Amino acid sequence: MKGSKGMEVQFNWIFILIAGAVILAFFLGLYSKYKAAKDLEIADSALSDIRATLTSAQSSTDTAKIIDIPEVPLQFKCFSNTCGESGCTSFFEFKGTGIRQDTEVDIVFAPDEIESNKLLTWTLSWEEPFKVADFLYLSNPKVRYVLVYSDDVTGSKELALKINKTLADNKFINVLVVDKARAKFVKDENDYLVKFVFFFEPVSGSTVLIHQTLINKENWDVIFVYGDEHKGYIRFSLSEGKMKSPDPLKEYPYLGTPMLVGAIFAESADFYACNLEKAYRRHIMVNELYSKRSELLYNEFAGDLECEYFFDANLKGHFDDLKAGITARDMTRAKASIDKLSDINSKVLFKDCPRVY
Amino acid sequence: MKAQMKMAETIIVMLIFLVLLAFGIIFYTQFQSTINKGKGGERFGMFTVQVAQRVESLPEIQCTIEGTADYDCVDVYKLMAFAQTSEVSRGIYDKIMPNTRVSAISTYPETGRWLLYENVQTNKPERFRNFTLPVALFDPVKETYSMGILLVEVYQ
Repeated sequence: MKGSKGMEVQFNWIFILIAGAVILAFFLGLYSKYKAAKDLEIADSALSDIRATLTSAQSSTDTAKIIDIPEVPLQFKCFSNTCGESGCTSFFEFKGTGIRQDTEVDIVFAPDEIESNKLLTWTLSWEEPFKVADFLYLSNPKVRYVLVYSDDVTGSKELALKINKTLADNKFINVLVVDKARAKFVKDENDYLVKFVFFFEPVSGSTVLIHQTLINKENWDVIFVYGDEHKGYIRFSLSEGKMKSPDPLKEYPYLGTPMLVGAIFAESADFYACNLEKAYRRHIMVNELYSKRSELLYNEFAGDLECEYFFDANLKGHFDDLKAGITARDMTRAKASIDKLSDINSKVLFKDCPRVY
Repeated sequence: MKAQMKMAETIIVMLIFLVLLAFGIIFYTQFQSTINKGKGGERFGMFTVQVAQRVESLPEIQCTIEGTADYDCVDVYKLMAFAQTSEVSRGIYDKIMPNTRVSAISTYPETGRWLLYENVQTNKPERFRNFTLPVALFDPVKETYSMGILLVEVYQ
């Protein structure tokens, strides 16, 4: 009798234990699901906030802002091999959440990943010669940009100063211009990243000289710029151990300073190239529109010798040339057409005719 | 016998507890889905505003002076050219203005309407919103401005 009573008590305890464990597991499961859903909701809401900020930033050029974001790594991807008629496969997402924002046609220059609770947003209008798009720049506000020029290279200092002026217009960007001899004295100041922009080629084949504190911390990067404010080309760097040198295989032409600034903000050459693709495609589309508009204006001014002259086939030829230059990524040819179009645009004003763009 | 009674009592208590819990979960889920529906509408409203902003800032239609955009102004000859060329570059515009119809309407002194872009894929839209943006319509030939609106209709 006593044995059966003892068994009953034991069984009750086992039952309570199992039931307790089941209930506890249920609530823990519920909590973890709720937490995961809440995290997704926060990431989703932050992403739509970023999207809203980006749209408004794109419709008001030259605006710089710092916005709060959750401290979850924000990743940027763009695959240049996917670029086609509808843009490129491109998006940004909060790592691991699966919540993404497509940027198939938006021209965005950003590092591959931003891990910060603040996001720097900035836009510049790309006008070659007509307005094509607003480029969007995103970065961590703790990045420092160091522009390095050489007095031995013609135009190097002028371009560095011009870029410095453009970047310094944005009060949130930490930028500094130095002579090449002083570049190696730029120390780590607990920066998230120090991005060097060399406006000259270091001694052929050699790596750049950087302060040891940066080398140890590996929080630096460098790109090399050759050209002027209108056109030129950019080389991303090749890592050789802890040092870096220009990589001739990662060379891209640029047209205008907004595109050059894009290379300063981008981290990887592939990401930059992918966004250049979007920009070139957009240029071709806008060019097509201006060409069509000129045709309409030519028909409108048929017989009006003053204005008809400006909108004739000659003008269409310049638009076609510009398109060909952009398509072939031949910036010298593109720039020549841009200059011709700018020239005509100035002349039409004296004759009281509509602007070409 | 007493033990069996106790066991049955415990099981009944557990069952009642679980039933109450199930009710609670069903109620919470339904409440949450109502909130989500509301949020979906709110988000769609925000998306409509974003599409409208993108349309308004398209360099393809904006008035420009030496390449620099003049906001809240639309060039009539660009509108005409855009209506003709947007078909060619459809892919890109479908991304910028998904499921959208965009029209420009001149209201004063002349009245007129241009259909700039139409890409409505949905037969039975779940949601529909429109957004009107007051703009100046600039005729570069006559050098005159008219009052007008950009009507952006977005479907989901």
